[in-house]
Amino acid sequence: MTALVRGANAPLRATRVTVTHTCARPVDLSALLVGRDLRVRSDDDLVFYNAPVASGVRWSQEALEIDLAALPGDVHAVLVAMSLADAAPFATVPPPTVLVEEHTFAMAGLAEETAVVALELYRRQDAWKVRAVGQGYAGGLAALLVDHGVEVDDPGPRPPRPPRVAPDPVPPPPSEPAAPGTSLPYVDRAWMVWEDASRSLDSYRGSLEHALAVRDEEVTGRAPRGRAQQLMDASLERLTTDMAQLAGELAAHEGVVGAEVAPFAGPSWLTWQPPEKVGQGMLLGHLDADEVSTPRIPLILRVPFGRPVWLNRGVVPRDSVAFAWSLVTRFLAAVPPGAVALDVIDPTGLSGAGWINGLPRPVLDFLCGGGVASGPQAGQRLDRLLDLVDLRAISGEEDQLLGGTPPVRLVVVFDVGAALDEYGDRLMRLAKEGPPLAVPVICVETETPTGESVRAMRIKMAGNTLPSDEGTLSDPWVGGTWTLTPDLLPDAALDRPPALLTHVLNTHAKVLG
Amino acid sequence: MGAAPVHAAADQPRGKKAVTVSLQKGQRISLSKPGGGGLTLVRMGLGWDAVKKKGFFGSREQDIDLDASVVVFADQQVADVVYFGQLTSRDGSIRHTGDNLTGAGDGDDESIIVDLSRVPVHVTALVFVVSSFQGQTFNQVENAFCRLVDETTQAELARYTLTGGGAHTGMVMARLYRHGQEWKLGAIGEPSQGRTFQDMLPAIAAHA
Repeated sequence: MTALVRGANAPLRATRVTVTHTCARPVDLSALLVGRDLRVRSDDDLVFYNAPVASGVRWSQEALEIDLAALPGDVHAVLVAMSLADAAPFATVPPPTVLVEEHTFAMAGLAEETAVVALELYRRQDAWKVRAVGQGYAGGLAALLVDHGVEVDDPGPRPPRPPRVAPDPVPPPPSEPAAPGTSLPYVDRAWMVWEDASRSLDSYRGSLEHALAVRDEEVTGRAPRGRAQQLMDASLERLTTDMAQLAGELAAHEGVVGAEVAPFAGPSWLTWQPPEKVGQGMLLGHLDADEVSTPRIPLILRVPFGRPVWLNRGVVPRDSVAFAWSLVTRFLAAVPPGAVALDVIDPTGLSGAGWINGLPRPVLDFLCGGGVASGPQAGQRLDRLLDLVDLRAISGEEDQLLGGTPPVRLVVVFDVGAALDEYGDRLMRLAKEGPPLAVPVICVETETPTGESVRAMRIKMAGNTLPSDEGTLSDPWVGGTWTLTPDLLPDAALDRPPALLTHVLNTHAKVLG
Repeated sequence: MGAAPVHAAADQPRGKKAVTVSLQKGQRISLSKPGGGGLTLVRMGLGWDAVKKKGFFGSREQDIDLDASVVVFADQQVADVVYFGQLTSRDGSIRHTGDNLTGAGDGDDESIIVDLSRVPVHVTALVFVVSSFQGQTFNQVENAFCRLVDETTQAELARYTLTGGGAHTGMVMARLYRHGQEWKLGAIGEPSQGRTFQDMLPAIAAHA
């Protein structure tokens, strides 16, 4: 036996040859009778499982028998093709091998291909030679055949296409799709449910609107009656089916998700333990659509988040403060102790964050940057954080430089309106540059309104703006209106430390010793 | 093996071929397979060859950018469009796999997948369109074709060769339309002029 390498050729001794193959999975052999242009003269020049005989070639499941002397004179060559019977590519099997006379050709290096031109038996003056070709086709046998002039009716099985194309860029984007084969993480599921619900609702509203236009036509006698009602019924039925399915998808996860993505009132918080690795995200609240009944869809932000979060002032300033503490609690609950520290900036000192300063010394020093930064300290704290961001931007060595600071610094800026008045450019820079470098920033609008502020607008544009009371927001796919009900700590709006937040902080401190 | 004579009878009956439907212009067929349930997933594929770059500095010719689009109609009104500028219909039932600006790559260079079971109930027709964004006519494009494929069975429902089809920059290819409870396909294959679907809207609307 002699082994041929790709591109090599060798003379054939006999005029009757048999081509066989070995492959770890079932394959089909085919033969193509081609002219000098390597194209068939007609579809009859293809010999395969559906057409096992042509002049000079006989097909069987195991082998191709070729009588070179019996081939029509204008056949310049016989191409021997090999194709996998199922859709999986050659990458999944050891190199397939073809044999003819004493020659073997092992086709290494095939990847996504599912069909390959293995050999070319060709005329050389009055003799026949064999060439090792090994040309693969990711498009399978159909693509191979089409390439050689066969008109193929059925393109054959293809690998399944991904069901979704990349979504349009949306804030806040669900990143990192789940690895294939693993069940979908809850965060991804929640986002998909929201997208599906948004699109289904949009479709329903479109159908309804059209139905009303049709009804106008019917009322004025310009169209026969009945279709408008039909459309309304059908669209409602579609909507109801969709929402029931989405509710089912969500229910499958309920009660089994981690505390950071579960409602505060849920059982997950009773058993919360500090995680060993960063959790999926944090629950912001639940979404409901106007007018129609949908499942309550959880809105979950990934942690650590790569864009600033802006909490709009609620009916009273306390609404956004309560929302902020709730998010801080979730963030800390989602991150392993030692991986995160909290920086609270309250320029006016009026946002009721003072209870932080009453925490035990170790908690305060290691987890809370020494306490709430108010007055001139606010500017100093911003400067220190910006230094950290700058160091991180130019080098990954910041830990040594800063003496073991926890990698994630969660920054909460209360009364962001006042902070912008005082430290506008620095705060804007921190809000934009910090989050991608593990310095996530939550801006909390409290006493000072920011309505007309260009800087506030810029931060909002760069990040995610959330209402603090039952406010509306638009979905990122079709711009439908949704009401977000924030999921709040039960005691976050009171004038005392929220119990769950204190518990999480203390647990972090305890683990760190 | 080996000894049997292999001279073939030329009139050997060919084996069965996969069931396909080759559409003549204007012909209409139902997409409901006998006993096989209705059509659910349809894909429009559009393929062409990239301009071959010659010489040290490459060819001065412009890349050829063919675009596949679907215009969605509710009765006679445009309800939505899927094209390179909006890759997903608002309802999510139609998804474009992305704009190919040069034709590089084998097979279908652009695809649009339609989940007919998710198309909103008020939508009555989908019109599939090809246009040449840089303005080259189909005569100037190598190996250009467009086709509609039943993604469930991979059967080709309609196929048009665009190359050599004349000095046109656009084609209204085919329409899928509701007929009672099922979807039907109408082949159109009407040449047109337009760099984007917008340019061709009057021609498209005629088939809504």
